[in-house]
Amino acid sequence: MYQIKESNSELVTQHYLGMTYENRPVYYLKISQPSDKVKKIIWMDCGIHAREWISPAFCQWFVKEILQNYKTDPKIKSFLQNLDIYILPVLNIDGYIYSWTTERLWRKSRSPHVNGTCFGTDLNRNFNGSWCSKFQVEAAEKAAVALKGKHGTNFTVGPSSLVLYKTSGSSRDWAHMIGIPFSYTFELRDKGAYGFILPPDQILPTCEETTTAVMTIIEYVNQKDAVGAGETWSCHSFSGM
Amino acid sequence: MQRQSAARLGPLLLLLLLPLAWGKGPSPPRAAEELQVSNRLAGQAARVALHYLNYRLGSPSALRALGQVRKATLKTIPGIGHKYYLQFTTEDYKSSLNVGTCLATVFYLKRKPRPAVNINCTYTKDQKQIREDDYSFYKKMRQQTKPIIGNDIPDSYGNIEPALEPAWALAVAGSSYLMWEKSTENLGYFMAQVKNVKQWITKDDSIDFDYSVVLHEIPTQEMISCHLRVIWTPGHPLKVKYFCLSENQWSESEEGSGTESGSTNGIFNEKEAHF
Repeated sequence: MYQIKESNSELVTQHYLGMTYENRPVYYLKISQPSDKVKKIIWMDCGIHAREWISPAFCQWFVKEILQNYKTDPKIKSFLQNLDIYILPVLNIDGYIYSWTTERLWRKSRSPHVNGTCFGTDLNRNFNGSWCSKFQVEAAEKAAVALKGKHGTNFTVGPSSLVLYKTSGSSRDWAHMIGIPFSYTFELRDKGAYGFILPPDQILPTCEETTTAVMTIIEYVNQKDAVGAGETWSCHSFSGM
Repeated sequence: MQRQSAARLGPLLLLLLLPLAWGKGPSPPRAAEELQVSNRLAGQAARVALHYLNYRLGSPSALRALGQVRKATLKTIPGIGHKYYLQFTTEDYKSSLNVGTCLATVFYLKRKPRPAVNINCTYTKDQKQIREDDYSFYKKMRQQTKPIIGNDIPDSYGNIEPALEPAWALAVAGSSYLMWEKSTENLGYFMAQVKNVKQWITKDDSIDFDYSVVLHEIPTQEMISCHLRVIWTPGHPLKVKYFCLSENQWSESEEGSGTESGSTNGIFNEKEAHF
């Protein structure tokens, strides 16, 4: 992250969010074209669930895509005039590292409970906020169409309680509760054959199609007049929400 | 859900082999509800039907995964259970290419431990190639003098060693039996990983494997460790015994049920257009 900030310092700043249980610093990137304008904000977090490796991979890919193309791609140029993009590439750092070093299918954080006999909180069940099902259908459906155009992958759009399963205390619930108008969860590949342990040859196509979808939504929000603060989304892999 | 050792389902088995009569249910008519194709319970039920199919076909080269639900209806039968009527597309488990469509009923009964499934599918993959691929794996395993062993399939990075890939596929087929048994209307399963495989060299015609597998349970997100013993001869029903760490006894599949796999389950090698 430091290197990205250093080589793109006209656009990228790195910010400190806090420390994890295992004393690792949590950083996020802000991608912002300096200007006098009041900007809408896009917030994207990845890696809330340790085992969903495709999620941090996607955040990294997405940052690369923006930084590689913002000078030449007119769409990116245009939305960076009105939007600031915040990206937290790995939210659950302790869990993510644990899934690399010790247990591949770990999901939660590494906070100890009951005198260290039990570890972890599901970080996407722990937000304050009641269960809700509001979503911006139009933007999501446009995104699904654009995504399918990339590699033919079908995405289902709908309230997560109907399409996936019911949860409470997810980041999306919290976002809605604090008044963020567009809030999405992306459940990335695959559909279960390999699940969390995605074959390497699917990493790139997943990142490409998801980037297309995210860009579609950003453009949609960019074109809407003053809807509000902006939007947030959270990326998971395969039924991981 | 109470776990019992596998019930003898003789009469129920015969029922399951009869061709599906679409749209006909028990009379008098009960409350029926058309579901949205994106409904998670419909997808869940379709996956249960496919677990059953993958187990009954017992063919590592012919495993199928859910494509998309095209139509779903739910009938509530008071005091008895919930019956799903489904039409869905299927994909080849490994390649994700479309391989045909299925019609299925999945009946979650209040008084029976596992869902009753009736399923009929078209299949567009070359049956001769499937048989050859199965047989080639079988032959290679029969020829082993030293038992094959393996760990973490796929590995953490998603790689599956080509030599172990058919053994992994056989684990999916064997796990399908156990996932079918454990599935309820609200609890679904995927086989996440083979932690361990060890072959037993046999004196008869079969090939025989011990597996440790990890199942992913939805929506709880739990990972469940199970031991599987899978005994297989191509063209014969899979024999599966399993023991999951949350349970305290082995469960077995029916042995020598006397039914042929393949054609008697109503698998047609027709082209898509017929649907």
